[in-house]
Amino acid sequence: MRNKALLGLRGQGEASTAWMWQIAPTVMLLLFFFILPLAGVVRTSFYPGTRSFGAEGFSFEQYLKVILDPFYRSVLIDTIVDGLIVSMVCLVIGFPVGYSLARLPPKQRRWRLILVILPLTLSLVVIVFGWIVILGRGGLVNQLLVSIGAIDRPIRLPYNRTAVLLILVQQFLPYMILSVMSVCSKIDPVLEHAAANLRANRFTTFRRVIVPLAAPGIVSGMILVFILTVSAFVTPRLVGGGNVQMLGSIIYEQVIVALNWPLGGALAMVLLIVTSIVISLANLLAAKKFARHRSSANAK
Amino acid sequence: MDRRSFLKTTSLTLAAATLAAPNILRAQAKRFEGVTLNINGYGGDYDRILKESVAKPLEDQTGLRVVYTPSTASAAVARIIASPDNPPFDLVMCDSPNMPDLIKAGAITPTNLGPDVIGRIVPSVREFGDYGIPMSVASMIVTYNKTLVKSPLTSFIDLARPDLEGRVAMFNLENSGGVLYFLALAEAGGGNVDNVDPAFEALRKIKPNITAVTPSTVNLLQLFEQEEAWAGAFWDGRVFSMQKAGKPMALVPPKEGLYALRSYVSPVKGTKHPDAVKAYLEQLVTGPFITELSRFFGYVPTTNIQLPPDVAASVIPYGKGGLESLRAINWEKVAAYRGDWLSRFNREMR
Repeated sequence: MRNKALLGLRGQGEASTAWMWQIAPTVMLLLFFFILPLAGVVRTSFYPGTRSFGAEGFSFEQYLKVILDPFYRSVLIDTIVDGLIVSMVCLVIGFPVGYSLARLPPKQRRWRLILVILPLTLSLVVIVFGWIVILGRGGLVNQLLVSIGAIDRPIRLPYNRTAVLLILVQQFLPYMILSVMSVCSKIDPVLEHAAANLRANRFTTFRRVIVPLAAPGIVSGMILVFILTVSAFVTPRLVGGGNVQMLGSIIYEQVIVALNWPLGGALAMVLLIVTSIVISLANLLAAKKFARHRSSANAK
Repeated sequence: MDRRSFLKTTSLTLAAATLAAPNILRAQAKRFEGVTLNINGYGGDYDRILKESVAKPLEDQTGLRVVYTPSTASAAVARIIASPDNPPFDLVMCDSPNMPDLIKAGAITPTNLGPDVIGRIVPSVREFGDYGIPMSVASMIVTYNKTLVKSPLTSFIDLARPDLEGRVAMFNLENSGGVLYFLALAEAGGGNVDNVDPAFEALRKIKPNITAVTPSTVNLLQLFEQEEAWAGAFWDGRVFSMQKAGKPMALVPPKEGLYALRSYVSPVKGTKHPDAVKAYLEQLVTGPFITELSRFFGYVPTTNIQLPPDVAASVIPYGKGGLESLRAINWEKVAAYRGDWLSRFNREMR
């Protein structure tokens, strides 16, 4: 009896430590490759002056520069707005594709899924230069517009904000599609048939059944696309043509070109904080809406 | 010792010597067998020429293996400064603007080559004393499409001409080429490295004509090749290559003067293979690399090598003064001010 009790206690103890071993590799990985480097960035951002090598002291100089300078403020706002626009456009385009893929039999889904994932396997620089060729005056889009009579002569399409947003949408759309698809594939089609039996039209079924159930996928997809967009720096640098500034490219310039790591670090931390706030707000809003929908469903 | 054991010992010694001999000889001939040098790369044809005329002969002669990892010079410099105790490269290739920070951070060491090697380098191209071997000189010139621009351009400020509206492409200040035309505009307007207001004034005049400013050489090349841009400021070597490929691009030394940077290769502090590094640098200076670079890019040689007549005839002309006519640039000040210039450029050209 006593032995059994001891064994039971040991079993409980083993169970309580087992989870620690299971998460240990992830924790170690995050500690060494995320937390420690991040701590380095935080420390660097508090150095005074323009260089971190040989620097000493602690100062809020960089943060004051970022917060008080209207240029950095406007670039930060533009970056956040661009992130929201790209997330919304990806949702509008990606949701129908993700939903339809989820409703396909696995055999048919496989090849379509490969087509969705294919752009992710290409180098970003190759994609961007490809787009510049397509959007150029002698490119496919201009030729098409001239041939259908929409324009008289080729016009300048790249090197503006619209072109940057278009290419960002193309780059990050697969993330939204995959996120929506993974959630929609778990929604039982019987629920849609039930809604139809209750005389709900397609739009009502979509609004009151599919969207609430797919909300976690929508939110995670939008967050993913938002994060990728606000941290983008290759596309705005190459397609923006100097007219489009995003915070990612300014951080790159300060860290890599000017070697001003204190300012680059402060810009990166401000971006991280603002992005975290936006994501937390989005999560909070989604959770609230979700809870309200669930309580009204329970009441009925 | 009896006869039998004498014969046995002798034959064993001979056999061992016979077996070991090739290894001893190989060890003497290939003194860097098993050693690998890591160097950042510029990519494309520059790296190809390095591989063919420096790395391959070295590997054949000494067994030394050289690995080039293409990236931007600035990114390589940032990586070296970020990890001083465990540098990712044995040698770093970078341009004049990067050198002051590397020297200040103590990330590179003097080359320590003998006078017979160093003596071959043209004195005026050595901007940092014993630091770095200058491999090539690249200058910013005015270029335009001769079939699309009817009236020739002669200076950077000509890019503000009304007939070029929406047809000018240039580097931004992230690319060192941008810094060169920027300094040219500043000094031509009465300013200097400490006062760049005239450069921004000139840029405000050019701005309505600009279709794109970019940090990427490939992107700018694409803009000229696709005729998206008709004129701009570009690297002399790249325009030379476009001309060789049949593009009707003009290569005009600007009236503001020739502003150029050097591309250096420097030993990184803390390299585990200082002898191999030295051998690499010697091969680079004394081997066929400089000639091949001149042949392909048209660069003026940085050493006193006698170019073959066909190569010498096609080298980019720097005028009567040759390399001596290049404007001197205070790179220490450029490194100190560049961050501020970048910020102001981003604001004003947005």
